[in-house]
Amino acid sequence: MDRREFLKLSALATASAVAATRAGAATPARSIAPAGTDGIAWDKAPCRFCGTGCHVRVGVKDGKVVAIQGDQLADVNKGLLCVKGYHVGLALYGKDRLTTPLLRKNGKLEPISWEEAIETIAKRVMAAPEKFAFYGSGQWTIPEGYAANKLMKGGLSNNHIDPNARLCMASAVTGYLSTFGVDEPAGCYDDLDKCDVLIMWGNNMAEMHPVLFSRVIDRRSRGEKVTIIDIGTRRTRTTEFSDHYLEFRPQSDLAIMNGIAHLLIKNGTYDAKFVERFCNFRQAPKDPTATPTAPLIGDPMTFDAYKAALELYTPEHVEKISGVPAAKIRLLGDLFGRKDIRITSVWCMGFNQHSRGTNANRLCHGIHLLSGHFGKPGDAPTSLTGQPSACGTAREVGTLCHFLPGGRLVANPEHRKDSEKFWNLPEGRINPKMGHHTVLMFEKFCTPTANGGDISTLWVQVTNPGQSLPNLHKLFKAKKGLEDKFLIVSDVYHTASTELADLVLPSALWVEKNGMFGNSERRTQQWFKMINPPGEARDDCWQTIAVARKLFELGHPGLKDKDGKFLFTIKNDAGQEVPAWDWKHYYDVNVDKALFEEYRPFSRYKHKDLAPYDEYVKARGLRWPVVQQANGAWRETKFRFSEFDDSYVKKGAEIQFYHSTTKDDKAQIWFAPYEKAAEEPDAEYPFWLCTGRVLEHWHTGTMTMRIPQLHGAMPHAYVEMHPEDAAERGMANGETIAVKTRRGELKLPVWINGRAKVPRGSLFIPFFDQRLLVNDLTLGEIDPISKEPDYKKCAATVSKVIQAASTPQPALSL
Amino acid sequence: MNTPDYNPHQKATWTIGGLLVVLAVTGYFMGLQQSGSHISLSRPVETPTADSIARNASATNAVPGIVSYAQIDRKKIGPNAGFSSHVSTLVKPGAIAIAATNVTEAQRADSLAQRQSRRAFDGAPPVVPHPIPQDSTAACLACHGNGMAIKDRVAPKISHAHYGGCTQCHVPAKTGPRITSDPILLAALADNVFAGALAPTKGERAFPGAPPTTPHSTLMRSDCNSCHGPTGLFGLRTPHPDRQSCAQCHAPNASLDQRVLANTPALTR
Repeated sequence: MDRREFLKLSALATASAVAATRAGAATPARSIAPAGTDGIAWDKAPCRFCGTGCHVRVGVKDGKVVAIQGDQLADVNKGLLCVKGYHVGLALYGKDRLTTPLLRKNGKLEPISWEEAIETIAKRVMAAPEKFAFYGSGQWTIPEGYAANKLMKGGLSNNHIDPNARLCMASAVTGYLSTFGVDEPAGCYDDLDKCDVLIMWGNNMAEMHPVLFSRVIDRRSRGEKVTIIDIGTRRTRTTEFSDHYLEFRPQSDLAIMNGIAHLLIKNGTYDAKFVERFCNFRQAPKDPTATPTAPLIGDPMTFDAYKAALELYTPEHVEKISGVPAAKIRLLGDLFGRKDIRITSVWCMGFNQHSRGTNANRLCHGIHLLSGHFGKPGDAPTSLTGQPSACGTAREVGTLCHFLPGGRLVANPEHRKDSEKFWNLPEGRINPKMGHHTVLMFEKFCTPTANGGDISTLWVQVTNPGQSLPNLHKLFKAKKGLEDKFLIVSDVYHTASTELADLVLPSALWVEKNGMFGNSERRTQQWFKMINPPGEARDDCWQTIAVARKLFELGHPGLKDKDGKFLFTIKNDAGQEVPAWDWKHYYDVNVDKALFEEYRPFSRYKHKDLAPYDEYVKARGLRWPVVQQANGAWRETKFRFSEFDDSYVKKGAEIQFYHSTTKDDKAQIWFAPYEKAAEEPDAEYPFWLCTGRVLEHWHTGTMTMRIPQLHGAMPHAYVEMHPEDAAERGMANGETIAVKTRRGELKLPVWINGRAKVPRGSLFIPFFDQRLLVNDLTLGEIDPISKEPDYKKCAATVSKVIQAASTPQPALSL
Repeated sequence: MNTPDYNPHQKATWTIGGLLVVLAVTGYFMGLQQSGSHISLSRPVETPTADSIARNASATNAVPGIVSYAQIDRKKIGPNAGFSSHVSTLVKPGAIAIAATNVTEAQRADSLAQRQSRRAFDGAPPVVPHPIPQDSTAACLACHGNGMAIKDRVAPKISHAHYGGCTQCHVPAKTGPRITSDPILLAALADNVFAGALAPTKGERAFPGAPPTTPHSTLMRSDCNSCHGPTGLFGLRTPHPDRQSCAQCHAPNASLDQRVLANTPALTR
């Protein structure tokens, strides 16, 4: 052993010893390094905001977060953050943090005790367990989502649990499942370092995933050549950095991808060998209702039939549909036809929030498979997620209404049996019927019971449906006045959702609790509680377990396992049971670790193997499958299905889709036609209305709008409009105008030639501003397969607002 | 054959017409040349200097003479006579003192407070104290790429060169897009009570006269001159900007810089 190796090993030993003591430690606040001379102690955590999963270093002094740094040890961000990440610590310190449970009495929210709050929930559930629904989040930590999922599906035999991730990545899930037979990207962020061409499909990466975008554009600063192609419906900051900008008519992305496939076949540049060895062809099933999985399995299709179906999509025809010049369609066709370059495609809400979102995802996978741009570093179709644990908690833990943990389905008897075994439940406990997906759940909640509204109590954790659901008048605001409906909201601030809440629970946020997230590239991350939450705010996971315990005490039979034991029996290292439902004892043991270790065996079925909790304590996240090596070390997997990296691929197979839906180790290339959007502009509503995000604000802005630096940079929402459209209507920059759809009306300032530029006939409104709710206008039409709403396309009209004399005039200082 | 008849009158028309076209084209380009800024080969190019600018400025006291349109852009007349668009004369810091050998505690505190006012905490990316173009980051580098000082206004040089997306981290706080003056829309949802870490005041000295160590992280702060150079805040300026290799004498701190790579379990996995 040389000196260097000795040093490495001894450092490892020390670190493991530290980690071991920490993992079992009972004290809530702890940190890796002792405080320096400046009194600041630093510890690692993934950022609280988006799905990129940057690691930050959190500086804590005197029980408060005082500084944030980008973590240089993190593969994801290599020391860099975005402006939200640098200011993430400030999200904890809005002056109006919720610090006590509040119950609505005579229309007003009044403080109550935690005991009363927990009992109130438990009694509502006991009264009608089948009418209770849990609406969760891709911001749930893995243990939080796991606990809620177990309570609902394992305890109450009730599948009415769905996360807000339904609104953001459900179409990516169905896209992956129907193509590869298993969810989540095969590639990872390393592709961004290796690709020669980056194609962003309806994705403003410079603002939404800035750190990943930097990872690509910074390669140029280092002298590397990478071609960046922005395929979008409006010019954004991303366009500024792009070599090619293809502006398409909303919804016509489907035609563009078919156009690429058409050219690959016509020019003979598709990868015939790859396709023959690794792919089948698939189309929509004749009877999608035949079995629950029929829409995902589809019907077989011959190559000739596939070819014939694409015949229509000539570059000229695609130009007619999309508005993208035929020459640019050919440019894409030529790029995909080249074998000497690596192409990475990324997308986010453009494909997913799409009334044909599943098909959009499928077609993108399809052109990568058809051209053989798959399975090598830099060659990958990769969806990006918007929430920090949409993958970890929604997709992997399976908190969607049709899933069980680890990629299992409630409709599948074997999967139910498996789960019952893992949870030690009596046979038949798990309900085989799919629960209500998000849109249906809120529709049922907002419908009077007498009219079939079969959800009466709804518990919302870590999300803000009062702002983020589409068509809010129908799906959220209609709750108002329905006396027998009861809305529970666990959150850290008052939001658009707490406005209608009957019970508000104050939650701990981010480093005020232990947590685990799973990011966009299959990376599972862990952090420790570093500071105490304010006032009486408590962990969401504790809230779930406390309600479960109260139900157990009230005698609900579902809260007992096969042996009559409480469903959430948590033991310390000495094997003694810890009453985790009692807040005083919640941190006597690491509940996260206990729940994660209980969940871990679920992950094997789909080869999404998770490592032991303590491995994540040491790492800045690990990408599953994390496979134990002969020497005991845990090895992460960067490139799934590729023999050179994925240890589950058979030797000599090169590429093996080992969860293939056709059971022949092949992926499916789907044909899907271009179809019109659910609502398109007409004479009465002549504009396309698109919604989305901005760099400074994260989703509904409840955290970022309370951070002065971010609020100052982007204080309010606006509507983007083309200057000629504005001029024709006599509208000036900054003027308050009315935007109207068939669902509602919103008055807000118009921003012309601002940060982004929409084409004629288009409007864009960001959704971060709770005072200007664009979701009063959106459509709520869902993809028939993924049940994800289309937030990107509906028809709108604009009109001038007659200003009252006292209304301030627009002041322009752009 | 369908050849047109020969017509002598037509020939004359063509000749006269052709002459007219030639004249018009020549005249056009001659005119262009006269109104453009033509450089005389017999006279050296005039580089604007402080003197010449002052001379031009003083000339405005006289009643301006009538000049041809062609000369307007080159004559210094009217209220903007003192205007110069020659960056070369503007960027030189001029009056800014280079050496500040004895910065007082008060001056240092003042400079640190000024620095703090643009950061949520020490180490946070500073906010931009002026409006920016919302749709492009190319403009940032025009001033901040190499740094620039114009009278008392300073655009610090970026201290981390290879990041291209400036607005990813630096946002114009308080000077973001103000497309409305509606106070309701401009108001914050709530106050924030975050109290960020303050910048360290001084590096440690092993003994009086020893070079102080670097008291802060050098992550994203790789160009010392950006803050400590001659255009830095007064209380933070180095007294010896002529010495270029800062780390030769001022030792950075490994723990502040996260330079713990070798000891990291993550790397041994």
